[in-house]
Amino acid sequence: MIPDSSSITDLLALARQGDAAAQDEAARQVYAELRAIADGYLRRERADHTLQPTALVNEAYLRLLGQDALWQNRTQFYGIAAQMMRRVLVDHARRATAARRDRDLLVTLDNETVATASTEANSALDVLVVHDALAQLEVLDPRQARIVELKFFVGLSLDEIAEVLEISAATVSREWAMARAWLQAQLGDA
Amino acid sequence: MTPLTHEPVLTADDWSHFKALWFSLENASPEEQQRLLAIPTISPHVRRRAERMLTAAANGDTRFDTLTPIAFSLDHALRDARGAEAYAGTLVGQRLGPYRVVRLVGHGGMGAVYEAERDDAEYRQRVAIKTIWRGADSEVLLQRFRSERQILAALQHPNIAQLVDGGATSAGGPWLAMEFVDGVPLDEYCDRQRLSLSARLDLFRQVCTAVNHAHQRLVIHRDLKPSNVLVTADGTVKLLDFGVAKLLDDPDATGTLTAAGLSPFTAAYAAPEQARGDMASTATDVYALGALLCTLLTGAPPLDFVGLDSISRVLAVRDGASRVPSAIARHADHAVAKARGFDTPRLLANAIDGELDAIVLAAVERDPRHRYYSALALSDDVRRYLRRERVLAKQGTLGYRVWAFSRRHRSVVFGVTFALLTAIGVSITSRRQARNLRDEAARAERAATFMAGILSGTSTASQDPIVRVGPAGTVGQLLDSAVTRVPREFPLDDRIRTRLYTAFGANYASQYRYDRAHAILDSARALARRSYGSTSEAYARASLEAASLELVFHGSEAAEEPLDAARRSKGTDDSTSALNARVMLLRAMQEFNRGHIRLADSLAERVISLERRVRGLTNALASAENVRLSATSWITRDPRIYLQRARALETITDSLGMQYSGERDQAADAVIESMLVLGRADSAAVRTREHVARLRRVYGAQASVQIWAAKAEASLAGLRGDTAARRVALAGGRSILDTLAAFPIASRVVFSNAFIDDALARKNYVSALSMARSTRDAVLPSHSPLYLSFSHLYLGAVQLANNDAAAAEASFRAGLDVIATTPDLASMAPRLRRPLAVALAAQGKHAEADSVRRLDPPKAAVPACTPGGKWAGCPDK
Repeated sequence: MIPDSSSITDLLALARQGDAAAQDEAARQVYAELRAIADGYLRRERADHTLQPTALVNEAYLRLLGQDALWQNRTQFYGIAAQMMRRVLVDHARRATAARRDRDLLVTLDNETVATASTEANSALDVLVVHDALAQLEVLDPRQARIVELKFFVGLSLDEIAEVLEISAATVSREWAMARAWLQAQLGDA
Repeated sequence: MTPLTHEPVLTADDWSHFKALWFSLENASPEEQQRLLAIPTISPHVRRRAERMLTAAANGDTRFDTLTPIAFSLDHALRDARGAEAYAGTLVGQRLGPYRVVRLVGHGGMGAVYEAERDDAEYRQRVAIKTIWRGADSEVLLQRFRSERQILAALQHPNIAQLVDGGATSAGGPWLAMEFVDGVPLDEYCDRQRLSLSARLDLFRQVCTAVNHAHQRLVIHRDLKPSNVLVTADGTVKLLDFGVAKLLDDPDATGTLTAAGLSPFTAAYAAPEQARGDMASTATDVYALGALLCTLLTGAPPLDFVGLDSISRVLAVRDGASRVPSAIARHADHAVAKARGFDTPRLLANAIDGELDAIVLAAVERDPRHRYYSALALSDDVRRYLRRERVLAKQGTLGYRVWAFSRRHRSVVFGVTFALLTAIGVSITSRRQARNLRDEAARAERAATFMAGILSGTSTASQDPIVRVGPAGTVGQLLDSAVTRVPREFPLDDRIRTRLYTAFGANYASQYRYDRAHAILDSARALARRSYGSTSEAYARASLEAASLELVFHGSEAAEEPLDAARRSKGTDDSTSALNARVMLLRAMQEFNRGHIRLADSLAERVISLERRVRGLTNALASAENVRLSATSWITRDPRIYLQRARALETITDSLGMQYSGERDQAADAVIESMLVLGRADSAAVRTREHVARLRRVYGAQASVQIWAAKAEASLAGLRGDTAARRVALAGGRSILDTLAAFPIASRVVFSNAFIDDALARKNYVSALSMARSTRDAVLPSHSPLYLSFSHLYLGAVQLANNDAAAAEASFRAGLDVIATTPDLASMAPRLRRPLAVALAAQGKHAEADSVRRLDPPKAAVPACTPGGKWAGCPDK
């Protein structure tokens, strides 16, 4: 159920004017598209299955908006896509966790195992752990949470984030440094 | 759910204080941090939190900085346990088939590469083993592997790393064993060895041959890039990973490029069809070879990804225009040129310019069907180049014929062919926006071929039509004959005629042949509107040429209608489009004509910054610089800045290859003018001689140019003090001017002023008066305050000299009237008022004369040292 490009463009335009329902619908479509693409790759058993969130978001962008979209749409889209990407990843992680509950758990909420898994798998961070920590940060500082999403879940550069959030790159850099330190402290292995 | 911390969590209220504390701690010295944290009002849990964060920050933990962890995490969530052992390093020491894994060479998005040894009783063999990070799908992969393996094993070529074996690990993960190649990437090798261009081309041909070998066996590489083309210590080229991309990829999978994560590096060698998700073909490899060749020659691939985010990179691969290799080289570092045996980037660019440019561009054509049909064809063309034969890339197109032709007759045809190439080139570039790609491309090609035929005279008996008809008017004659042939050659294709007529019209305009230009641009506009529609780019382009023509010959108001038509084009919706830049440029010129100098200057500035940002150095940028140059004489009124700008414009036009353009002529003229103002007569004389020689060489005996040359020669004679020669030159120019029905307003004013100055000096009042009158009458319809104020000033000066004070008063007042509403031209006012006071006094109106005089501080009379005489304080020296 891929919406035609005009509809998401229209939704983004409405959302820019403050239409919350349009914003939600745009987010729903973006989420559906990201899921569809990710599932598609996994189903087709691609060799390079290290799904790059950036690539997913870009592909979703191309599919939903095509090449003719305005720059305005693009930054707005990234803003939405970062949150939706986070949801996609969290959903995946939850399903995977449920599926292998009996196995040698890599995904766990237990402190020790996280640390072990991290060293083993190239210091990988668990999506769910980050997600939860981020949920706390979100309450305290929504903007820092947005920055982390854009950086961590979509892989945008600080300059790109500055553009999406319409703030200076210097501010992004400062806030990002603090958010990162906060998360590290929060995750407990600082 | 989460935390590992058992501290009270910060509340939202605490947060802003905490944030302020953090920012002051962040960059403080350790002692300072201690001091800040010791402040008693800080609660213990806030302090602990801050300390933990500082420690975390100091540890330089980069886990959050890259995306890889997420990609890994996702793997964890999705992969099957069987794939687990393929992760980094875990296979070292294990046996895979007959091989013992020795070390991990590297790992990337797809899997890991190991070095392994076969250590049988029979023989030793070193291999590279690739494993793939995946689990559940191994069956599918192995199946495919088994069927493809026969084909890959048949791929035996000295320049292709051989696939030797493959199998499955104990856990079921697939692996491939390939000939181990100890080498460095091709581009690195060439640079390290400081190989010359021809040595690089030889190596490149080896790569082509190997690729062609594979293509003949139906194997496509799909991921050719420098890191996959190694050169061993003994100088042998080895291609890695042939067929591997195909082997590992789902046959019906699309979006390869997107999934590959699109590093700038991958994207640089990926063909547009890969970005579109279309099927890869042998043409895909030809594209990568072209991009590789570009890197070998210039140090960079054809697409520029600098400053692009990842999504822009996909779009750039899909739709971006390749840069011309010689242009890349021209802006390359000195080190790049040195590594290729050239002293400067410019010399390297000169070596690449022309045939090598054409070869690379033909290989990286966006449409796979337009590329070389095989790697061998590409290699053969490179060989032709090395043997100094004609390369295929340039044959049968405008490019080659015109180029080869203009090599022989460079001086004569260069100017005109350049303009034509530009006009047609513009059409070709923007064809992607046309609805029907193929038809438009074919049209551009046919139009180009037609032009090539005309210009190279292939359709006539003579090989050298230009030489045969002699230097006078030859370019014009070629154009005339082309125009008459168009309806016969393309009676039914309105669109081709639109293109050609637009190009011809622009060219007639550049030759100052107004009537021809006007008539043919009218046809072009009518055809464009009929066949493309009134909001089409084709119509906009024809309209822009018409606007530009009218602007030059009849002024701002006459240009309004066509400019307005161009502005309504859809192509101007995109504020960064080339079309929009041209519209803005014409507006700048229009405003300049209207005497709105500052507005014109700021519009031109916008064109410049837009072009610089989006397209780099372009002709539009040069034209905009020219507008700013003219504006300088009104805004800063400092001849030194004027000279600087003029020189800068010379440099720009030269680096754009616009040596024979109007902008280049204007720049030369401005340099001479400012040198005269600055009292550097000798330098001015040298420059003037060069200027005249160039005009004559390029345009031959064209009437319009003869007038410019006459003016320049007159000023040269003036510098020598040879008044007789000066008079002869000016009289010659005038006699030509009288025969021309239409002549650019600005040129007319400038020439007339020089003529009138001279006639007055010789006290030939009759001649001066007729010239001043005819000039004013010619300029009147333009309504241009800029040119009108000069015309009135000079007519008044002549009338005053002729003892007709009443007429002079009327002229000076008319001059003041036209500038009354244009503040930017205020500096003209004193120059009109001073002679006005004289004219009033001559009529006995002393009181009025005094009141006019009081408006300005006393100063010397009209400056006479420059054509425009607009410089502050100029004649005081």
